[in-house]
Amino acid sequence: MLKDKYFKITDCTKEEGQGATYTVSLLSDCKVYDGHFPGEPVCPGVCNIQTVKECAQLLVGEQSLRIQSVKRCRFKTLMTPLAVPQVSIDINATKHDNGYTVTARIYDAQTEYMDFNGEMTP
Amino acid sequence: MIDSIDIRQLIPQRQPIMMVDQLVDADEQSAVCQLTIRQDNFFLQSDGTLAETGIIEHMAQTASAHCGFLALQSGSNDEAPIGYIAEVKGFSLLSQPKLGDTLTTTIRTLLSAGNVTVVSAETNAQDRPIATTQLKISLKE
Repeated sequence: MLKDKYFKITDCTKEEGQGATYTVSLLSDCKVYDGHFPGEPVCPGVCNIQTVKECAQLLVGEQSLRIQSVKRCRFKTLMTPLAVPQVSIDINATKHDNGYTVTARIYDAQTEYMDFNGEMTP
Repeated sequence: MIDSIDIRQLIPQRQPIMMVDQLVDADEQSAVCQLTIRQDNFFLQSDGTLAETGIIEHMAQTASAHCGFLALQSGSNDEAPIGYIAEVKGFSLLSQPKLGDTLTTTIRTLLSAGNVTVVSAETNAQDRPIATTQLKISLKE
């Protein structure tokens, strides 16, 4: 939904087990910034959660996942598409009977922006 | 009447990411907002359902509208205060909303200290519960 509109994946490194690191560019011409906020573009926190979900779909090979629950998701530093053109996203998805436990972290060399811990189901 | 207040007076978000249509009730500690899910909703998925992240944004904007309402009540003529989600805790999806549904969300202030507010949020569609969560919002200084 937001892939190639809000963010673009430029690299992906699979890790041992069920994890991967995605390198993601934030697209500053996304129309969401017309409204969030006028004249003051700030990445909507929920768009970052959506980005994690869409990367998780690619990681586990599911057409779509729904976020069934969020144990905790913290936004530690404000992100703006102009100051932060590119971020790394570490994702781990552990499969269980009903779906996946997903943990993720968005960061760059200097800063940690968000962490996420929740359940996603196909 | 509360529901005659233009929502743009209460929240700083503008299209395409306005996720509340109107404030329908509010007092010092709580607020109720509604949103009808239309074809042009930013969070509408290809299967006609609203993404869970859209529900969370709708809940957060209900909290934002509450802040805007309190500011308006205190006589402020400034633009609606800008708030950011600092934490989503204990979100639980009960039913996926879809195109045409009208969501009604109630937020209650649990804690308010300085620029940080913690609220509980509960969202229902016409006929069924949709989701619950707790949100921490920090207001821009």
